[in-house]
Amino acid sequence: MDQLLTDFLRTFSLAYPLPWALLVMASLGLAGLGLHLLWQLLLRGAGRILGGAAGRGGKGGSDGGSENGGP
Amino acid sequence: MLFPNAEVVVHPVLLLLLGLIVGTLGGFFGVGGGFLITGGLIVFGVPESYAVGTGLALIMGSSIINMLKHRGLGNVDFKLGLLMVAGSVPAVYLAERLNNALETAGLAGPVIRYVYVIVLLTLATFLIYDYFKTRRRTSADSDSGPNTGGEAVSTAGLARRVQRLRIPPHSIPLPGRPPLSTYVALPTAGIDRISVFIPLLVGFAIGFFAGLLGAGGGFILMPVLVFVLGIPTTVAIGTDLFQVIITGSAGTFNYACGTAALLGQDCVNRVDLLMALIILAAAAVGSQIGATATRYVDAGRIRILYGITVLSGAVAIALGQIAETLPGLAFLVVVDNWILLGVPGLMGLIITGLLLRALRRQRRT
Repeated sequence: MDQLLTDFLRTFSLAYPLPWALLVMASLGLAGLGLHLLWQLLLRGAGRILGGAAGRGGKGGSDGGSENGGP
Repeated sequence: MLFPNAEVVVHPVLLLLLGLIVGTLGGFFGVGGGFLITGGLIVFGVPESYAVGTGLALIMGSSIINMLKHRGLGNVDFKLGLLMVAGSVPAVYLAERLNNALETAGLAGPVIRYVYVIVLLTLATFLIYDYFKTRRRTSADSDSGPNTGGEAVSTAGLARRVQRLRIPPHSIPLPGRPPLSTYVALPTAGIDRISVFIPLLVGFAIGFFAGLLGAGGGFILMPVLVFVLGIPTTVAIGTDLFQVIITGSAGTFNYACGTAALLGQDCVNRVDLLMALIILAAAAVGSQIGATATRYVDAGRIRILYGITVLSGAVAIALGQIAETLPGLAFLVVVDNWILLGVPGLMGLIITGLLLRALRRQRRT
């Protein structure tokens, strides 16, 4: 599996420069978006659990809106 | 672990640590962290060209995460960001032409490093001066609670004058339609009316420096938005990240041979995708810490910490140049590496500490 990935990354980048450039951008863009969404879910879940444990404290999730009065 | 594109072996824990620091600083200061990533990867043994290419790819990915997080906090002014991007595109092209000319003359390396040091030193000196000047004026500094304090800057008068500038033409005639005004409102940035030529000019200036220095330009843009346009620090951070995504994407496409392929030219890929993805996973964690901390940490404190980080970058680059010019002082490279990674690492710890302290105080009240 490791070898397969290594070979793919090496040969694809050399043989197909334009699809490779697009693959790099798409991978990092989607990974960024996916990681952001994952963290939002995790933080919201943690906020709910902590909020529930504190007993209807009204603080909401850990990642709600801005506290500095921003829109 | 072997990274097949760069053909180098690096311990993944080192990359995860670097990602954590880059993400925290990126979320807190709104910068891509190009000099830190590239410098860090070179220290880890990654060839310089791959360090720059992989760094740009990472800047793109981590700025997407940081920008989305700041968008959720209401800190991104997309209209302002798009206007600046429009100004920066031709400037990046012009700067690259100048860069190529310098390279042909064999002057690119030292000129870029000297410009870098001068820009970073000027920025750092100003940020530190501004912090102490405004702190003397206001005594309402606090490191926790709602982030309303610390927005006062020493250049408030300049920012007001810049916002009031009237630059002709004031409207553009359109056939069969009412003329299009060249003034816009930027409510997220707190600006009622500003000439579109001002953000376009700011974008042009930043794009020129970014293109010349081979960086995302975020480290100059954030203070310019705060001190010249008078935008709140948190909005400057979020909007700055939007601009960095665009410059980082363009750089990544270029370093991954996309531009050369379109032009039918030969090119060698200089991005290690696997390395960038590993660093990005850790940067996502740091980004949550950094961006959330901007909600609680006083804006003046954000700027002074940024000033110290920028100053350390200037010292590190200057030491690197001295070590290269004077072979007898080669040991300075080690000092340079320690400063390059140590100060941002320390900043990451300080930011995490400030966030934890603020959260603990909030829970008590």
